[in-house]
Amino acid sequence: MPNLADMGNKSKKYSVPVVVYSPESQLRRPLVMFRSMVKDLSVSRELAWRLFIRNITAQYRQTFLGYLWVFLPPLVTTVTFVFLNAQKIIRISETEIPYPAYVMIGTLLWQGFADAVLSPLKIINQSKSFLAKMHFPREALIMAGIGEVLFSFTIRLVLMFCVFIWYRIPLPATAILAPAGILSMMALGLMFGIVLTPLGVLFQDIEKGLPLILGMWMLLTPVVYPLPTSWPASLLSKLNPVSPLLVTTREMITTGTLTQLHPFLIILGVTMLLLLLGWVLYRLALPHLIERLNI
Amino acid sequence: MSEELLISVDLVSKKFCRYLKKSLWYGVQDIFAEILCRDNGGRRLRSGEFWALQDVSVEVKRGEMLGLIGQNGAGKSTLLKMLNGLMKPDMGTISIAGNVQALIELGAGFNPVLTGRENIYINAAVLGISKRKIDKALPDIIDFAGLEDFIDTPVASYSSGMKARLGFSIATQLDPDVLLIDEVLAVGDMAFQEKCMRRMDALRNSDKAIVFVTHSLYQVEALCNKALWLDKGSVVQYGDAGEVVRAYLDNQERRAMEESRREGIDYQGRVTEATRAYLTSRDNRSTAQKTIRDGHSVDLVDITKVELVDSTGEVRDEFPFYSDFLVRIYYNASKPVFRPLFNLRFLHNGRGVFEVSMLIDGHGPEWVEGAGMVECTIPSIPLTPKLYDILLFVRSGDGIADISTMRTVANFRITDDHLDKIPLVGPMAMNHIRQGSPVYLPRTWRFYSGKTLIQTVESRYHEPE
Repeated sequence: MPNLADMGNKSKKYSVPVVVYSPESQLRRPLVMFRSMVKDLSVSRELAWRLFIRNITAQYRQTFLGYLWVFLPPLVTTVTFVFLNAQKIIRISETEIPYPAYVMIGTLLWQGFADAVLSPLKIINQSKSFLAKMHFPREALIMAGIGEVLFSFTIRLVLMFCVFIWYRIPLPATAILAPAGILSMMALGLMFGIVLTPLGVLFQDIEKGLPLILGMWMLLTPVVYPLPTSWPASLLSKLNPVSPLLVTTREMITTGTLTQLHPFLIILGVTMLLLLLGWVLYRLALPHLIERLNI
Repeated sequence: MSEELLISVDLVSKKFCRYLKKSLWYGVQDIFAEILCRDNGGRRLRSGEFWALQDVSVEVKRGEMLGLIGQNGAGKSTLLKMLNGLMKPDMGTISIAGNVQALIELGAGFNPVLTGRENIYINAAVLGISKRKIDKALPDIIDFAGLEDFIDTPVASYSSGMKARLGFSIATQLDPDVLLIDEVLAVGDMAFQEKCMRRMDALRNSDKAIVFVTHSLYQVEALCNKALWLDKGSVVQYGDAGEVVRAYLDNQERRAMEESRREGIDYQGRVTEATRAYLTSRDNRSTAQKTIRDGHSVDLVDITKVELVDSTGEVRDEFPFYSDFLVRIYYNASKPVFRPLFNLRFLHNGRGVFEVSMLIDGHGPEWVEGAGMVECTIPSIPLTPKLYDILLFVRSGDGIADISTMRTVANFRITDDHLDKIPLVGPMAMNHIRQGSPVYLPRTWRFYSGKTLIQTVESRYHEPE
């Protein structure tokens, strides 16, 4: 935990483990930090599970529509684009599967990514008073957040199955890889979310701006349209890290031909590395954030 | 009692920033400093910063309880939060041994939509306790909190007292080595507060180390063996709980008196419309009035000196409990004054305790002029050991107008001397009389069995020989 230097049994004077808090940066003892990161992660599980259960049970208790709220965002997006396309208000090039199915799959995958981006900041802002007044492994919050993202995604899979059955789309063999694709998208989202968290807790601009940015980002990602091949629109797929992940995952469950596998793997590797660094940043930043929140 | 040191705070300091925007920006800087392994300025304060805590050192061993006292904003909660690892110290080190439980704020971890039972599980998980251990402790937690009938109702419907009970119960039933408690017990009812105090006493006796923030000095004196008095982030006094509390109380009283004295000075020169009307209508008939020039009052009776005298005739500012008390007022009347009425108001902590007034007791001589002196004797002054102020004002003969400015003319202390002449019972009695009511009235208790008088208890004070 914050600047924890677990001296363990080094000191014979104590019958119990000792924790030392000092102004020194935890990075000065990377080994100690790494050990406590691993330890905190493992002790977080129980708490994360409790928080997860709490959040999903408490989340919709005070709503009229209840869990319907999980389905509403992708449904509304799909209906909107299917309507716009059908009325020829926007022109979207031919897709390999029926357009409604295409949009539905795209928005569901995008929603998984977007939820993951928003998750860390959302759960930390929800738990501010908790964080400021109780000492617990802070990883638990992030884990509970991931749990929620996965939970919502799983519920929404129902929509996806309906679409597959309705349009009689056959599942290719690569569909077995789909979970990996989905998890990679969420990992990328989580990475962005965690890296933004320190600033986001201090300045609410981030929380206010994120939905805006994500809205625009979605339109710049081949969610409701196929990957553009002509320059300069093709830049979208090169500069936008979500594109290869989303396109590949969609291909895994529809066509079975993975056109973006290379960029997919590179982005996944970089994401994992940055996620680890984001975690370190999160641990270093939290005591400072709590201090500045002053609640 | 084991000598194991569980909490050791060594010259710890913490900076806070007054302004939100700056504070947030410093937060960003501090995070960067941490990433780059640079220090965050150490002793240097950035603009807008102040020391929320400075050079605090304390030690708490097993079986000890430390009370943190001080006014709001003294840094008590900041220290507690650092002990709990919620914030990093800016300077110094804190070492904590063993399993720590903290009750920083009531219901911090309670989700209002969920039931009490659900919240117990979450709270315990937050504190890092396994489900098995909670299952075992659950009946005790519910029982101690006294919430059997409400445990399956949402916490939103709990009163703040019920939340306090639940929070305290969870934190203390889970066998911590170190217990940190912020002033959370104030919201519970008396019965629960007492229960909590007993519980804390029991925990201390079972070799835990406890740090306890409270505004109840009584609790500190009764429970803690050490106390730390903080003022604006600095240590004023640290040591034996009784001594620190006594010093703190004296200081509190002095502050309150200074305030009331300042108010007294404020009073000067203020004449109400009613008084002004009265004075102008009667100005020609009587000289026993205050003269008014340019809207400012001028005292007709000047108080030149006030002395407090004890039974032996000696001037002093400390008096034994229930001893004879004499106030000597030297005055100077610039014009002949008709039947002036002297009034003495006794104040403790800025509040009136009692008043002796010639408005009640009757007139003195018809005309008073030039320098003179009035004495007022109060036999066996019925005040308990505390600090007191005397406020003096003189009224015109009809009792309506002030003819001298109301102001504080003296202060004195009633000491513990002669307290042994009354039958104090038990170790807390002294505390009771010090912190309780300022007025002491002799009284008699009579016990009846049926209609027969079986015993009389008299609080009668026996003159010291």
